[in-house]
Amino acid sequence: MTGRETRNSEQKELAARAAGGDIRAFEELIMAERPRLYSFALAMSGGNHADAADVLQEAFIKAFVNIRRFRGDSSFGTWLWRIVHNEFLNYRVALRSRPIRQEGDDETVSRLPSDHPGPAESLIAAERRAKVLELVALLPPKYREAIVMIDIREQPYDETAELLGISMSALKTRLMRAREKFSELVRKRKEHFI
Amino acid sequence: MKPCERTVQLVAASMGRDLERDEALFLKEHAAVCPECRAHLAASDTAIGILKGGLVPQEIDTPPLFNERLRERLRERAGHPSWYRYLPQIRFRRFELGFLATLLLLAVGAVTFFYFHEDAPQPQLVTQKEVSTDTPLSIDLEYLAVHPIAEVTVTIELDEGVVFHSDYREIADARSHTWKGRFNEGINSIPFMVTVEKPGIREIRTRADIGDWRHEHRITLTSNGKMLTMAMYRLPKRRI
Repeated sequence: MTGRETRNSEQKELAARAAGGDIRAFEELIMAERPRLYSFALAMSGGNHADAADVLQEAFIKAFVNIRRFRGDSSFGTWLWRIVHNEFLNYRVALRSRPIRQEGDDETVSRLPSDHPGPAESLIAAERRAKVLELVALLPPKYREAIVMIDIREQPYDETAELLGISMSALKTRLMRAREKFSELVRKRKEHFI
Repeated sequence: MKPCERTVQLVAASMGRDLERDEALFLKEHAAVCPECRAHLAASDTAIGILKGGLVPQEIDTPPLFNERLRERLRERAGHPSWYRYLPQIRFRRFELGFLATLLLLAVGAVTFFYFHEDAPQPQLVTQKEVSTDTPLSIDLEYLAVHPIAEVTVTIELDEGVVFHSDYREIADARSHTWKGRFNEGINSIPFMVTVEKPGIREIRTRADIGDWRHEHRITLTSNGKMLTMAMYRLPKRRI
């Protein structure tokens, strides 16, 4: 049995236990994906920790309630990503109806650790990151997730297309349109970047 | 104006691989003489330039108390499992399903009867129809405006077991949709389609916020697995 088959078999066993109400088994299942999913959720919600945490909590609860539907056709990670992705589509109205970021809000991405932290990282750079994410959050969800997955998180194209349930060519078309829309937003809000 | 097809193809090709030298040269030379393609390439470069570079770390720990709160909610769920978690284990024969559907219809009838005989302003039956469950149900929300209204928000919310029928996944997967726009003088129609996934009684709730007033509909869908009966009620309007 290969390592992947072993992992799938373990996941099915944990999923079966979770379906019987075993919370620890479910926590073990989501543990590996949680930091990556939270990073995705944060980028999708314009750097707003409260929104990212809300959406992820709801997605995890839905995954737990529907764990019987996980049949092991794909990996548990892929199955879970799809639930989070759907949850963001459901939440789009709620997210759009509230301000993306308030001045002085300390739950924003400006407090995020960088991948390359160090004394050279200035406050301006952190502010700029926050502002870019604000603009990303203004995109419609299907464009936002294409940009978040490919451009920001640099996920492979084939993996992203599978997660979104669309073809590679559809993903590329969507990404092109997303970049155009993002670039339009940048033009309209130049003051963000001065 | 749209960019040229060849440019779009090459930009798509550049996703996931480096362009060949002659392809890159074509883009450079073509962009110099074609403003649409130049704008298209500039938009792509602007986006990539801004978005690359560690905007968000690849992995981030969830906030403090996230895990505790999640565990608490999971315990609640595990302690009080939803009925539908057991549904796959229940197998009905056809006549039993019909009997249950009849009981449900009678119960709804009784509840509706008593509800309608209160003194308060009552819901009005707007329309009623019966269709096969094999086809999606088309519903028209109609609003009569005596003068144009600049800003109207209409929200449609579905019960579990009812889904929007659409080729677009983002529509089909959503539990609710909100439409914003203006109403013209006369009848304004907002059509949508749904499919009932499970037999039983489901509900669709709609609300239209017009100025200070909220206009609501309740749409009851009763399915026995073969036929679907729809009844749409208009609730008395109320101040928001």
